[in-house]
Order: sequence, then structure tokens, then C-alpha cells
Amino acid sequence: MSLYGMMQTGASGMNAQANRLSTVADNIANSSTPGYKRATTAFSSLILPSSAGSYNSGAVQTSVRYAITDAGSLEFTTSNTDLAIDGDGFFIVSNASGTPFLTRAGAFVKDGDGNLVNAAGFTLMGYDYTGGTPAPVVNGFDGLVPVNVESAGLTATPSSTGTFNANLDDSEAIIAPADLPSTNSPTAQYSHKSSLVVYDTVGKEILLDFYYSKTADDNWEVAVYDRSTATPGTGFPYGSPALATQALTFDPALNGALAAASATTITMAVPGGASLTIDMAKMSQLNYPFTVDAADVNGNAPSAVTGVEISSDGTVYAKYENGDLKPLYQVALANVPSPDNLIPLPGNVYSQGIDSGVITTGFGGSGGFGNLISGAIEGSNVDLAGELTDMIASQRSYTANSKVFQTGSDLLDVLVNLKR
Amino acid sequence: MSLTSALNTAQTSLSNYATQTSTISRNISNASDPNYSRRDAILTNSLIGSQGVSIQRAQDSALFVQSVTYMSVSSAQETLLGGLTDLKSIMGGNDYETSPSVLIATMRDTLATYAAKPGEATLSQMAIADAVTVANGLKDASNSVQTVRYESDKEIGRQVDQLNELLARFETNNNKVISGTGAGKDVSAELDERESLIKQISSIIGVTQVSRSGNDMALYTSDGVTLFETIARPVEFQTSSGFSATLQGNKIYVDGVPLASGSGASTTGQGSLQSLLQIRDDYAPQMQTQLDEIARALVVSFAETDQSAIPTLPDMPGLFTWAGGTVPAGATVVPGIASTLTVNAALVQSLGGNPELLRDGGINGAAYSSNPTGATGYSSLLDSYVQSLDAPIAFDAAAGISTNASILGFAADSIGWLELNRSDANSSSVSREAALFRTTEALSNITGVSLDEEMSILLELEQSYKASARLISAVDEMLQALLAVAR
Repeated sequence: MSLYGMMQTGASGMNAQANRLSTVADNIANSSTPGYKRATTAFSSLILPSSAGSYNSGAVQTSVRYAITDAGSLEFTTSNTDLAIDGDGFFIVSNASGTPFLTRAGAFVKDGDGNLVNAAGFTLMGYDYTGGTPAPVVNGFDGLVPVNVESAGLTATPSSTGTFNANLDDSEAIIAPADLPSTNSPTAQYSHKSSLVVYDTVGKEILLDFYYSKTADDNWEVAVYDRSTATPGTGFPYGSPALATQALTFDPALNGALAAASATTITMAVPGGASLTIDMAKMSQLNYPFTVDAADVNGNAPSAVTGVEISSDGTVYAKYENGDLKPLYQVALANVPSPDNLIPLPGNVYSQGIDSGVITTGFGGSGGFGNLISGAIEGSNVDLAGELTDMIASQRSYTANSKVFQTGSDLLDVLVNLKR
Repeated sequence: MSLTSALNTAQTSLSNYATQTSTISRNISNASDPNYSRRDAILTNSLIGSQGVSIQRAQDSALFVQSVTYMSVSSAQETLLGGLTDLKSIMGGNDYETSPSVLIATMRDTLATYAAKPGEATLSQMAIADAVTVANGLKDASNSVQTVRYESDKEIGRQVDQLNELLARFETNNNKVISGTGAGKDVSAELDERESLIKQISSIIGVTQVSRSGNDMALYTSDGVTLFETIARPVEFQTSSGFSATLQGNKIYVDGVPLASGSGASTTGQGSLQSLLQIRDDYAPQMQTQLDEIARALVVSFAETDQSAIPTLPDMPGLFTWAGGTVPAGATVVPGIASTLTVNAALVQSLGGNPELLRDGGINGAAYSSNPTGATGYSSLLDSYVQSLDAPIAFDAAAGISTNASILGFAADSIGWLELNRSDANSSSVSREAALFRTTEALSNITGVSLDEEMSILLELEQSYKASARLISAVDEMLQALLAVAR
């Protein structure tokens, strides 16, 4: 019940509003900073003990809150290394000295060393794929390395599986055993011929000749030769024996499909390459011309990296010319039980505080973490209109507090003038 | 929803409308390109709430496959018709005025006149002159048939070169499609190019397409032989430097497998190569056989026999002779005889011969003379010649027409055979072209650009663009109002 107390209260109110105005100023300044989280002020009253007959004005206490869990709107960009998290979680980034931080600011670009660095200069961290599919260290930052998108060179994959589906013409003449392609004799005959390009371990293209020959009704022989050893002009005889031969049996009762007991694959060792298995399960034998329905073999010739692609689970793929993707890293995400209590630090990063709880790490799309979106960044969650209205309210409130202070001062003046 | 996000949305729509407008302008600029497929820029909402434009290319693979097949078939039929028309033009125009049939008939009439007045020297010379015309006519026809084969062979060589070049371009283009698809780019232009290449390839050789993962494509011939699979397969062919009745042309090897020729006047072949093979290895040789059979029959019919009481000398060629200088025995074709057929020099006055030997016989010496006294009224030999032209004789079945007919009848059959095939080919060509036209039209209805459609979409876009711009200015005014309050 003192005028001084009242003046203190007014000053405390003005202080509180100044705090509020400061957050508004910061929010407006960072309204287009990616990953920026709005700061708000929460006030609580500090009331002094009063008795029934007298009132002691107290003060107002400011606590600053950060709306860290409140996601900003997504802004789409043309760079696929720009990342946003659609849901919970933070990117783990580290500064120049290697200290890890959390952030939502995902405008990453490649620096001179190939590391992905965001606008504030923090390096994106992830798990390396060199030791196989990585598993996250759930409660810490161990094993994290900077995500480097320049570490991929040329790559070649040897062919190991393939498919070949075709209709073999039922009306073809039967070929005598001595003239079958499998004999590799100069007089060899065949019913149909096809060829496939496969790759050896160094990515060299190897052309394989596939001969289909009718050995008896509903019985066919498949023989595979390496084209490079063929006799020029005639094909047969090849310089090296057949890579593989396989007998196929068709069942007219099954509409010309392969009989249940028939082999459905042919396996061969590609010269200089891996073991290749061609699936022929859908071959048919009908009275219709030789027609190829599907033919495909995996593997690829050496191709260079054309870019990187980041999937929704955070896997960073090197993208090769031929469209193949090879995983290089997996971007790790982290979260804490109370994200709003993280300690904000310059550069839109947060560090773990006492109130925020223990860090858990994981990957996008799993265990409560949001999916990663490549080619988008999370904008700030500041709404200008809200900030402006806050500013006006704060201004009026500040004026009112100053009036309280002024009134206290005026009353003190009156009091002092009582004694003449 | 805050004002800021309203601004963001309006901004996104502006860029979306811009993309859609650029797609429309590309459609309009390519409206007259038959290989261009219309693009539709479609607004899509992603799961995360953003709006984007995805560009879709209008296509109908079933119709495309059908139009490509008709293209092969129609091109094959047209090539075959061209070849048959070339063969027909050897025989003169619409009345076949230079055909052996007409020439032999003229010669027969002159011979008959001569037989009626065997004493007239001018008639003998006229008969010889007609015989020379027949021999030259057959020789020219035979040479022209071989020229048709030679030209077909050259054309095959040209088209095989073109096919190899197209396949090489297909390889480059297919790689672009694959890498573009892998990189997530818009590969519509590459797909247009690839389809146009398939169309060009299909007019040369029948093509089956097999789609593979990653927008990859493999091409097989209509016989199932690999044309393209990751890499272009070689199509090999050696042209021949000249053709004769006995020479076989070289085969076309696709990936080491010989390409079959088409068969029938309404050809089973797909693509011009199979038809060119059909002309070179089927129709032209058969016509050559028929010409050879006519020539052989002429040599045999005018042959002289030993007139001695006890004949000891062999039959010898009379009015007509050939490089072999003998009378071929049996009803067996003598390949190339037509190309060396001449009138015996002993009868041609300009070569120091005596035309009257035609009446008397004895071209090959006195033993063969039927009229040793040289009586000017002798006409039996001439009569027998005239009759023999109309008497049935045996022909080789290899000629593919009548095996027992008179020379004149056989020659007429030969024309009938050619005309039958040509007119069949002609009517097939018309109907197949119509089928091609219909499928192409149906495909173009689906994939082509319709200008009025594009213009109406453009109007809609213009209105939407204006609306978005208006939204931005409205939000701007609202923010300004707010700022005006904060004083």
C-alpha cells in the first residue's frame, strides 16, 4: 500500500511490455528467416501479501517462450538439397568446431568440400552408408559424420538377374539333336534367336546370343553363347562352348505355358562378370510367331554422378547418369521430449537444455519423426498480422503502465507538498 | 491461415499459372508437328498441402502400336506395288505393247503373210525384222528385269544404311530418355523424338516395342529378332554389283538372323525391306523364268532338224539362237537364255545372211534344208512355224504359270500373272493406306493439339491469373491498413 510500490509496479509493467516489444521486433525482423521460430512472451503476476485492509501492488514477471513445435509453412524451392521436416524432429548440424546442435533451418547447399552447409554455416550430419545400412545411436550424437555429396565416383554393377518372356512358335520344325545349337557345330540350326546386353564386373557390355530350338513337341532347348566368340558371318561355331543350356517343357493343357515340372530359369556365368539368372517363367509356346513380351537385365555400365537425391527417410542418394541411385548417407534427425524448452542460439540452432529432456535420434518417417521433404524449406512461423496487432496492444499497454508510474509520481509530488 | 500464408499461396498460383501458360504456348507452337504429343499441365495437390504443376504427355500406347504396325504394312505394300509397277513398265504401257506376247503375235502374222506369198523377198525381210524385234524385246525385258533386281538391291543397301543410322539415333535418344527419367526431368520432347524414330524405323522394318523399367525400350522385328536392346544391333547387308538370272542376291542379317522376305501380292511383309526382298528374290526372278521359258520355246519351235533320209545330225537352232548355240532339251528352264536370244546371223541380210533361208531351211548347212531346189513357192516350213506358235508345248513348272500351252498362250499368261499380282497389290495398297490413315487420325485425335481447346484453356488461365494477382493486392491493402493503425 505504498506509492513507491505502485511506481515499481508500473515500471515492472513497462519492462514487461518492452520485453514483449523486443520479441515482436525480433519476430518481424526474422519473418522470412527459414526455420525461425516465433518468440512470445508469457507474463505471470508477482503479487505481494496483502491484508484485508491494504493492498500491496506487486509486479509482473516475464518469461520468454519459443513456439518451436509450431511448424512454419513450407516454401518450395528448386534445389533438392533444400530440406524440410514435415512433422517432428530436428536436423543435427555441427559448427566448425564439431559441436552438435539441432535446427529446422534446412536451406543446405554444397560447400567447397562437398559438405551440406546451411545459411548459418552449420554442417548437416548423418550416418555413413559405407558400413552397410546405418542404425542410429538412439541417445547420442556418436557415429555422426558430415553428409558429403561429393564422395561418389564412377560405379558399375555386374548383371545378376534378368527376365526374358517370349512366345515360342509351336509350328516350328523339330531340329535334329546333332544340329542343336548346344552342340556348337558349324551346321547348327535354331528356331528363334534373340540377344541381350549384360554387364561384367567392370561394366563392360557383353552381348549374349540366346538360341531357342525345338527339340521335340512341347520341348525346347535354350542355349546361350557369348557373341564376342562367334565366327564372323555365320555365328556357329563359337570359340567357346555354350555359357548355359536349359531344357524347357511346355504343357499344351496349360494354354501353352511352361509345364509344372519344367525349369523356369537359366543360370550362366557371364564372362568376367557375376552369375546371371534369367527368369523365363512366363515363356509360352503357342501357334503364334516368335514375339518378345519382356526382356530386361539389371546391371549398368560405368556411369558418373549427375546429382544427389534425398528421400523422405533422409537417405542421400548419388544419382547416376543411367538413373541408378546409390545410397551414400542417411540424414539423422533428433528430438527431445519438450522441444519448446530447447535453448535457442544464434543461427537458428537449438541446444539441449535442462528443461528440454534427453535427446533421441532416429530417421525420417520412423519412430515419431516427420518425413523429410527435399526441395522445400520450412519458413518462419511468424505471422506479420499477429505481430503487428501484438505491437499495437503492447504499445497501448506500455502507455497505460507509464500512466500508472506518472500518477504515482504526481501523488508523491502532492505528498511532498503537504509539508510546507 | 495467416495473411502471410495467403500471400504465399497466391504467389505459388502465379508461378503455377505461368507454367501452365508456357505449356500451352509450347502446344500451340507445335500444333502442326505430327510427331508432337500434346502436353497437359495439371495442377496437383501434394500430401503436404502444396500445389504444383505436373506436365503430362498425352499418349495412347495401344493406338500408337497399331499405327506403327499399319505404317509397316502400308509401307511394305506400297514398296511392293512400286516394284510390280516397275516390272509392268518393262512390258510397255497399259496395252503391254512391248510385251513378248504382242511382239510374237506380230511376228506370227508376218510369217503367215510370208507363208502365203513365199516368193516375195520383201516379206522374208519383214519376217526377219519382226523376229529381230522379238529377240531384242525379250533381251531388253530380261535386262530390265535384272535392272529392277539391281535397283531393289541398291535400295535395300540404302535402306539398311538408313536403318542402322536410325537405330544409332534411337540409342542416343533412348539413353536420354532413361537418364532424364532417372533424373526426374520432363522427357516429353525426348519421347516425341523417340516415337518419331520408331515411326521412321517401322516404315523400313516391322517393329515390336517392349517397354522396360525406367522408361527404357527394346525393339524387336515383327519376327522377334532383336533390333535394339540397350544397344543397337547390327543390320548387315552386302549389295551385289550386278545381277543376272543365275545370281542370287545377298541376305539381310538382323542381329545375325536372316530377314525373311514377304510373300503374296497382298504382302505378309512388314516394312519396305521385306517387300524389296520379295521383288528381288521372288517376283523379278519369276518373271525372268517366264521370259527364259518364252525364249527357250522360241529356240525350240524354230529349231532345224536334219532333213537327210537317215538323220544323223542333232537339231540346231534355227531363226532364233542364243549364246549356248544348242537346242535345249526337255521342258526345263535355261536361266538367262532370254538375255542372249538373237536372230541367227545367217538370216540377217545386213550381216551378210540370206533371209530366204527362213523359207527353205538349211541355216545350219545343206543337210538341214527342206527345200534343196529353192522352189519359190515352197511354204510348208513357214506353215509349220506359224502352226508351232499356236501349238501347245510343255513349259517348266518353275515359271509358276501354265505348264502346257502355246508360246503365245504362255506369253499372254505371263502378262496375266503380272497384271493379277499388280492389281491385287494395288487394291491392298489402297485399303492398307486407308487403314493407316484412320489409325493415324484416331491417334492424332488423342495426342494432337486442338487449337480451340488450347485457346479456351488460355482464357481460363488468364482469368485465374488475374484473380491471384488481385488477391495479392488485397492482402497488401490489408497489411497496409494494419500498419496504418500502428502509429
